Formats: sequence, structure tokens, C-alpha cells
Amino acid sequence: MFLFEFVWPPEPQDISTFSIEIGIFLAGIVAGIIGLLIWKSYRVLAKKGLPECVSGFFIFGFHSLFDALDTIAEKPLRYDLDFMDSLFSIIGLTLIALGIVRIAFYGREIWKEL
Amino acid sequence: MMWELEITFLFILLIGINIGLIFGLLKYKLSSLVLSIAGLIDTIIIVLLLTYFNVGSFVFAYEPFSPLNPVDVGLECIELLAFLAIFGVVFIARAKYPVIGGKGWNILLFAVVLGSIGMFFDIYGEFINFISDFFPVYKLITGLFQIAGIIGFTLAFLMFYKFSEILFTPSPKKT
Repeated sequence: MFLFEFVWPPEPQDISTFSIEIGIFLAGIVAGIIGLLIWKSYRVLAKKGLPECVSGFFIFGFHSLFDALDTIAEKPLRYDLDFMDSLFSIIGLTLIALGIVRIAFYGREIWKEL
Repeated sequence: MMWELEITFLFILLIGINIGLIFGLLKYKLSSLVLSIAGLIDTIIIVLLLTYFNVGSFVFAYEPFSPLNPVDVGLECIELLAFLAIFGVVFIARAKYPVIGGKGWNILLFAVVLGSIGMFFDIYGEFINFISDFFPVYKLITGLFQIAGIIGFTLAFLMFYKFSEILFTPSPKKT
């Protein structure tokens, strides 16, 4: 059966790959939600850096959703989804790197303030 | 013939690096950066050797570059570089500002290494044709490394902020 441009349910040989990729997507989303909870709990401390990291987690999670969709997609759409997968991954990782730099600088800043 | 040369060269390199590493560890104090780089090179050599010895079993054919999509591989290489950049950032930040270091920061470093290995396997899969029975296993290995990396990141931030709450909370501004 085709659902728009996707094969649904996935072919038996694609089920394991699809499940693993959906698993990574869910892990990314859960990590993002935990990041939001940390942000809420440590308002002052997590003011700089963590917001970028949390956005990075969500975006990195979505990279895997595209990865999962390209497993069950038809050929022309598969290439676009594959490209989106890589693009989201790069943006997510860049945001995480930026967040870590800001956490380090902010850590030094408030350490000096103490 | 060519393969035998490559395998011999890789074996010599693997033994040489590890003898150097043991000598360095016993005689000098090696930095964790050197250890991490040596670990990465060791992993690459072992994966290559495993590939050579398994053509016909889980590797269908070793024909790198034949059905290669340069855009796909290029983007995946950028992803790996992004992971390595995060590793560099975390490492340099701790060296420069030791005050942020601790268990959380160490887990962060470990999570980045796990993610980088997952990314390395992702790129490796672009060059290798696996047999269809092994492909889900390969996907599972890559996926597990990525999931472990994400869990490590989350755990690292949880521990880092919990630990830093007491240490870093700024004093209230004087009025």
C-alpha cells in the first residue's frame, strides 16, 4: 500500500531499519524535553548555551525522522529526504557545539563573578 | 596481491601505534587528546581489517567508490567533522577553564566519542556493500551508537547543572 509517496506498512526488510531510526528520533526528542526541564530548573545557570543545545537536540532528533522516512519513501522523494537528513544533522550538531562554547564562556564569567 | 600488501601495512601500523602507545604510557604522561586520536586510528584500522577478512561473509563485495553518491558522503563527512569539532570544543574548553570540568564534562566527552564512532560507521556503510542479512545488524550498531551518544549528552547536562548549581550560582547583585 502507498501512503502518499511512502510504502506503508514498511516492507519486512525495512522494518528493523525504520524502527531503529524512529528510536533515534524519539531519543532526540526525549533529550530535548529533558533539556527543557533542566532549563526550567536552573534558570540562571542555564541562561546561556543550554537553549542552543536544546534546539540542537530537537533538530538532531528530526534528522533521524527524515532518515526513517527515506527508508520507506519512493525514489525521487528518497533523495530529498536523505539531503534533509544530513542538513538537519549538521545544523543540530553546529547548534550543540555553539551551545557548549557559550556554556564554557558563561561558566568562566560567573566563576569570576563569585 | 594488492590486498596482501594493504593488510600487511595495516597490521604493521596497528602494532607500531600500540607499541608506541604502551611505551608512551609507561615512560611519559600521555595527554588524553593523544590517547583519543590513537583510539580513533586503532578503530579505523580494526574496522578496515575486519572488512578485508570478511569479504564473502557479511561484506558482499569490497568495491569502494563504485556506487558512491558524493553529495551524500560529503554531507556525512561534514557531520563527522561537526562531531569532532564538538569534541575539540569540549576538550579545549575544559583545558582553558578547568573550573567547568567534572564528571558531567567527562561524560560529555565520552558521548561525543560514541557519536563520532556512530557517524564513522555511517560513512563506512556508504563504501561497503553488506549482504542483506547483515544490513539490519549494521543499522542497529550505527543506531545504538547514536542513541548512546544522545543519552550520554542528556546525562552529561543533567550532571553538569546539578553539580554546578552549588558551585556556580551567581551571588545576588548588590543594590
